[in-house]
Amino acid sequence: MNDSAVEFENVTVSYIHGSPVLRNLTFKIREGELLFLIGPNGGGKSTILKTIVGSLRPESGVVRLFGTEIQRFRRWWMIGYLPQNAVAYFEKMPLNVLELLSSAKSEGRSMDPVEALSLVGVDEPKSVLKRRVMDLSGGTLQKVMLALSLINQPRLLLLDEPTVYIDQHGVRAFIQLIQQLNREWGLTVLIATHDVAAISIFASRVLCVNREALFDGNIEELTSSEALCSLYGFHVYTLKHGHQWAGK
Amino acid sequence: MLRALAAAAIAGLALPLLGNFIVPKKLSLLGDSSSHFTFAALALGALLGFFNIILVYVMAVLAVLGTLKLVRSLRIAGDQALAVFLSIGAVTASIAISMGARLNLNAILFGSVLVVQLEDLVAGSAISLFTIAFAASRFGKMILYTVNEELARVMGVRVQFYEAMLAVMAGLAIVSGVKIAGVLLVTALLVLPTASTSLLATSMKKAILLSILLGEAALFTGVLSSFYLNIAPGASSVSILLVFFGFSLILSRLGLKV
Repeated sequence: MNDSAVEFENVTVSYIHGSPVLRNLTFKIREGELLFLIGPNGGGKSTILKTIVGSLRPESGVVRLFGTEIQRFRRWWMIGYLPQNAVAYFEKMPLNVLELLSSAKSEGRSMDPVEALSLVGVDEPKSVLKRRVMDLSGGTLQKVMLALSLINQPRLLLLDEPTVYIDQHGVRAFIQLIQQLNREWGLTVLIATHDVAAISIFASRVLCVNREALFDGNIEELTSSEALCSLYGFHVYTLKHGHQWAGK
Repeated sequence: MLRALAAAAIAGLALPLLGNFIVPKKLSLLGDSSSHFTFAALALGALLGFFNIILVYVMAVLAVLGTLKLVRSLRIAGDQALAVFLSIGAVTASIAISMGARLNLNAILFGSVLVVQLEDLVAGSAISLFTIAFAASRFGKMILYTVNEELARVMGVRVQFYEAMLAVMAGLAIVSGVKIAGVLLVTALLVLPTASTSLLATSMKKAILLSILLGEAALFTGVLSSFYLNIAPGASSVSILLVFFGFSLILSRLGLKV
């Protein structure tokens, strides 16, 4: 069962016509994989995610989700998405957590909101359900958004800078939860981040993107080359150090 | 008088309800830009000697749809898109008037209890009922569409469909509201109820119900008092909404939640 979850074939994406952010990108993510998408700001990480979720249409090339071309893809329950900066979404809405989680009901596939919150490690889920989303702390909001992305038990999870609002201690727990879901659900996971600590401790396969430059391999290969690292905006020392320290 | 109260009842239902979905999208002045388009439609109709209420409704819907599309597809900021449509509407109306269009400006700008016809009530009721039915049956998807369009898309919401539906419902409701409150104040009916309730409510459902209650109370009282005090119904209704807003601010400062 190693079918592809995501396939990019010679994909070019621009925000402004004639000025591509991604150029002729080709890669494949197989079902059940957990990988990190890294690279400098402006290099195209978010662009790749937005293309996968269908917000951006490629100028050329083919994008396939679970074997289906994205223009014809309809089974959106299979995709879970944790966006960056979700805080900004709820500013003027007195929406509460229960209403948010219930809005995702999809053809009887949805988990119970309490179950979803417990899954992501929220304490006292019943009382959190009554709280307004805009009143939640950064860390709790992130968990709620993760619960929202998982509530329909998707097959592919996309995380855009998920550790920004979480402290160091929380990052380890967060990634361990993701790894657990990857193992137990066979969930395919793509994490876009420049959180060096997370990458160095947990990454095996990394996809590095900097516009048209793409490195697709394992982290040891990446850290073995200074030049490669700086192309993608990292210092070898930090990456290597963390990786070694984690006993890899 | 009865017709005016009926119109008030209708406007006080659809507009506050829709406001709850429009304000969080940072499109609070949608009522203004759409009503100015309505103004343009009325002025053009008067100038050309051809008045068709359908045209007015269509123009209002196009203004809302145009704004939503500018924001989503061309990534223009909401307030800029609103300014564009507001300007187009006002410019068209102004030129039509200088070319000789004869309009009851006072009634158009500030509303009037006298201009409400039976067909307005029928149309208004149909629009309100449809809006409530739609929002109730698709509540979850409306919420997601309002929160963030990109997230909504991944969660299976057909964003273009909801965009079109919001445009239709808002555009039609705004035309109904323009009769009672006038071009200049209809946006207040859209925004002020939800501005008040979102300070105090602990859920969207409570905010929506409360904002409808506030809207109805303000419009009813507004229309009645405008009759006796001889001021425009838009002015009296919106004054009451402003008082409610003031109260909400105070109550929210005191930590009261509903």
